[in-house]
Amino acid sequence: MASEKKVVFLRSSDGEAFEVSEEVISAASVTIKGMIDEESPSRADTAATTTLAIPNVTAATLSRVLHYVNKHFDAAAVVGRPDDYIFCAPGDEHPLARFDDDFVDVDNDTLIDLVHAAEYLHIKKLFDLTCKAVADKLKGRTIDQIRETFGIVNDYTVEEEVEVYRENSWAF
Amino acid sequence: MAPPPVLMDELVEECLLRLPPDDPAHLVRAALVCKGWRRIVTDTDSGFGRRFRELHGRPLVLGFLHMHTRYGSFFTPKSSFRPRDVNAYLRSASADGRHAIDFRHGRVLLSSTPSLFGTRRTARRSDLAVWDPVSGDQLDLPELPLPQLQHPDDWFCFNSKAAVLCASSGACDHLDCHRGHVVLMDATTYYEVDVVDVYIYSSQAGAWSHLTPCSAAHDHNSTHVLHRQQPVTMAGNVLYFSVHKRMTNGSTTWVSMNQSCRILLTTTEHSGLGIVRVEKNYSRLHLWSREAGPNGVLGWAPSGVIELETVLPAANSGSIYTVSVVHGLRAFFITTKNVNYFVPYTSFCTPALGAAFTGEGPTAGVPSA
Repeated sequence: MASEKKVVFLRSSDGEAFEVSEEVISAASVTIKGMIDEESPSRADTAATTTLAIPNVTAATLSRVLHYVNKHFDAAAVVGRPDDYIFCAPGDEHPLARFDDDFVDVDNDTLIDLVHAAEYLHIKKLFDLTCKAVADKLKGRTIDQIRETFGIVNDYTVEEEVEVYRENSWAF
Repeated sequence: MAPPPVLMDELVEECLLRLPPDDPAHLVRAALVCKGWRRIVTDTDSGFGRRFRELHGRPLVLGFLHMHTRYGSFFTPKSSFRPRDVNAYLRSASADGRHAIDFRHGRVLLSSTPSLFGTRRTARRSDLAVWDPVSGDQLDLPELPLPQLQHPDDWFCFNSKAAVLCASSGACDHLDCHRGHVVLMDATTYYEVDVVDVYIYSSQAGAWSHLTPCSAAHDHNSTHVLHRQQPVTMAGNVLYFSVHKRMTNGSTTWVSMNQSCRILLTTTEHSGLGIVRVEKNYSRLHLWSREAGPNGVLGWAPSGVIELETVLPAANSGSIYTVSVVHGLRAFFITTKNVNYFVPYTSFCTPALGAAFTGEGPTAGVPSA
């Protein structure tokens, strides 16, 4: 039926399928829009819904990404559910600022998975949001804490490290 | 269990780009996490610095270089950035009699003769040096040639001003060019003859060259003399030196650019030339800009008034010592008895204070790199 919205299914790397409006996901993700456009000629012949494989993203991450996408890119949902706007002052730069803050208030591994997913799926707003959240995690931490948090091996020698600390002592 | 995810290098760069720009220490700390991260931040080829500025807009003011002939030159930080040797360097330069005499595009020009005046012709500047306060590099300049002016007397009076600037004036935004080539300009005016003598030094050529002297005189009774207190101003790609008119019968007629710096050269919002007139009781600043009139003739048009008592209610006008222009930032530096105010004027319709911080001593503020 023409009035019914088209949906696509996204299958995560661990095999779970998620339903999402084709219109919404196309607006959000450049990568998936490309996949859908590629599929289009064959889809015209059949009534079957399309299932797209997203091999780089796990079910846990994909479900989070879709939660974000539905909030930010589904105009109908936004209009239909004004709760998000109620607490926003007119001057707020973004009506979903609060949702975004909560969305990235997650542990590091989840956040890094989200950065990778946003990059792979090419969802610019989500990529900006998650990269900024990583930056915010970096700024309050000491160098050792950053290394520990992000699993980075220190490849400076002791002498080099002493030298760079001495040169940049104002930054500590 | 799967190993914890590690950010790919290109994504590390994206995250570091989004570090808040208000504290340069964040980037330094990030660079010390591992060599890979340091490469991302410091590799000039990757354009990290350029992208960082594009994302965050106007660069951070790191601090102010105070240029004062009596108190010496010193650096007041306005961010966490405290280059280790800046003030030690300035102190040792002062001890050698060298002062900061000009500042532009991330470089400081030092000389032991801040303003040459009424001196012997052989006493030319011979100790000019260009110093990069961020890297600490210093470039000593070869001796300036003696003036070309033929004068029967070995003694004669002249004023001289020197300015430093980035050599690539074309596409450069001058935010990260402090490692590049520099150009120096030394202008001299004489009391007896109405001539401007200009020498230009290019670090690329490594030598001084002399421009054909030009005369500004429209009558035979006066000469134009460089104003010693007025800083050199750059608007667009042009350097402006202030001059006053001196009657050749011996008396000095101060024209416009005098009144103990009550009129200051500045730049306008659109990078044109402007002047600021400070009202006698420091209650108001009048801004004027150089504009072409309907008949195409350049003139001065009023471009705004800043009520200092509205902008700085805490500082009553009676307590203001000095008002100086922060070149390159379109802001004023206002010194009162206890506090230095930094007042941006691109948005003077809503005059929010950019910053107010305590300091001491009279100052002439210029922004750092």
